[in-house]
Amino acid sequence: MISCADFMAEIGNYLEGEAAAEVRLQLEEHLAHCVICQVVVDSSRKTIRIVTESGSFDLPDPVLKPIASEIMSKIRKEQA
Amino acid sequence: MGYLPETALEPSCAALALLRENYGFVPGLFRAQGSLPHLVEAEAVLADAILFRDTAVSRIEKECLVLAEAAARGNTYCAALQWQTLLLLGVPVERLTHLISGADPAASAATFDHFLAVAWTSFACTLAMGLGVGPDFAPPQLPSANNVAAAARGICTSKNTEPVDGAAFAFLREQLGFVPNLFRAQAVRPDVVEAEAGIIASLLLPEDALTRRQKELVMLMACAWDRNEYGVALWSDTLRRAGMPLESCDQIVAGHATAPAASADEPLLELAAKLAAGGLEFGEADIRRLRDHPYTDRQILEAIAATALAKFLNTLQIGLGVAPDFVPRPVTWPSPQNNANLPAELPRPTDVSIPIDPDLETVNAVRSGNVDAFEQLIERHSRRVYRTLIGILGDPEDARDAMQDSFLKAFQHLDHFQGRAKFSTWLISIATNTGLQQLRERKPFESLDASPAETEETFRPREIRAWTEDPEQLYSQAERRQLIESSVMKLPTIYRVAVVLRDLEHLSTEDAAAALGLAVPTLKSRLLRGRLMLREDLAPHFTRRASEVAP
Repeated sequence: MISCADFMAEIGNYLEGEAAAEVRLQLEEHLAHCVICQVVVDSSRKTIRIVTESGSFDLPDPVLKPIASEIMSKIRKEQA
Repeated sequence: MGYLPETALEPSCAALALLRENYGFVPGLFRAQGSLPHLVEAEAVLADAILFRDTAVSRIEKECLVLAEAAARGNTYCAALQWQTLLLLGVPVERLTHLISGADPAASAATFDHFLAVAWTSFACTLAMGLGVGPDFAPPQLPSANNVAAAARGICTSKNTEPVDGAAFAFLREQLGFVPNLFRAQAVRPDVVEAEAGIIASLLLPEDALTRRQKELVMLMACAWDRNEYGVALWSDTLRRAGMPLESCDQIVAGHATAPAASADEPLLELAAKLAAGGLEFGEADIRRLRDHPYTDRQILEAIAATALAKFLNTLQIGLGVAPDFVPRPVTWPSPQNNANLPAELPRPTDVSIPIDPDLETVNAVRSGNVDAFEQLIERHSRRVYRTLIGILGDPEDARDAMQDSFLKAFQHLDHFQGRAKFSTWLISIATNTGLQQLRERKPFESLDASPAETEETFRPREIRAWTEDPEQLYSQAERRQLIESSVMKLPTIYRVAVVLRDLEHLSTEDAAAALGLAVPTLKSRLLRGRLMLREDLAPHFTRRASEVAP
């Protein structure tokens, strides 16, 4: 039976679905009994989901437009 | 995609780790050979012995030489790979441009290490040409081949008295009947001889695709069209040992169409001739002809690799000035006239399949003088560029400045963009380089390089309260975004960059690692650590308890 520390050492591969079959079995066996690791896996998956879908650091048009204009004016100046 | 379909290499293939470690990803050139994993292993070992390690010459200088040689040969694939590799190794663009123009002193150095690097270039360029692999990165603008004389290099006649013992020499003696001077001349570098023997073993010996005799015929033919007397004599002798009269070998060398001994393998030899001659354009139609014969893709791959190996050994023989093992055969060099199937005129364009790039039309408009069209490219891509830069720099103001720089650089270097990779990919790599450069300038003590300590300790979770079923329901989109942005900004740079490129920019793990010049395992472990840190930081807002008090 593997420990929580063993589980944490493999959690990256587990979350990415890249753990080898036999390792995966051991991890799932641990998971079936360990509430803490269940919470970590569940909340990690949710973290990845909300971050991936957040659209963070999307610049709104009113901020982008002037920057685009500035780049273009520098380019035109350079051309001239 | 190249001419042959890719076969995924087993994750256990040791070559993958070696290639990722040194290129940051697995280049298409090797992925295209996935149906012969042992060959890929042997090639990675050879590259490691010749290029990846500092020997009497540093890795960077050797890689620089490969860039100069690949450019002189007009090989877009290898030039693009070398360009990116050297950028990641920290060589400034000015030097790379200099190397490509053939003006860098590295391009004419002549020591054993340099000849090995040149021979590797010959090998890789032949493979890239034969397999038709598309560049992994936007290739640099190469000067037209006519303007660049291949580097003039003296001959390195290193006399050596090293003993020729050890397993590799024993193997060569057993397989070739003696130890050719070409390998004796390299006795100072037993690791290289061993890697060469490894390639010969994994390419020539297996008989499950082409037979050994077929592959030796291919090597003979390649030497004939590469005008290499040494190689012709060597492979003629090897075929003689296997029972082929030397006169038949001479006939094949002079023009295989007339040689009865080779008539069954004519299409195979034609491929070797055309590929080895180099100047004749080689394309997908040549592969199709072999498929129609029919040869299998693995057999075609073996023929291409055998031609590349012949070119490698020939280049080395010339560079090292190795004396013949035999009295040379009376060679009549082949010419296109001897062979009705080879075009007498060159060249015709290669059939390179170009992925459809939605930006290409706009890019071309800018290049043909419509400067205003560049604004469309800014509008389409500024969000991605900004996200990349905030991930690297961690400061909105800096990211906006760097975004301007990135677009200006892209505009100034638009001529270097050849449309072989997508414009957006090319642009993101410029932004990444700009960001990393500014980071180095502003925070000289903060390194993105992998440190041994970083992955040692296992992560211990502190937040162990369960999260609500549906965290998206707790806050509005804008609130969630704000929470996430502030958590991401708190991450240490090395983790933030990984999370931004992978989870916000949605790059593949391999692309993100390549953009940062990191090995894939390093990128993966940083991504995991970054995600787990975000989890800790976000947890108080998303636990079940939080759901009870949330608005």
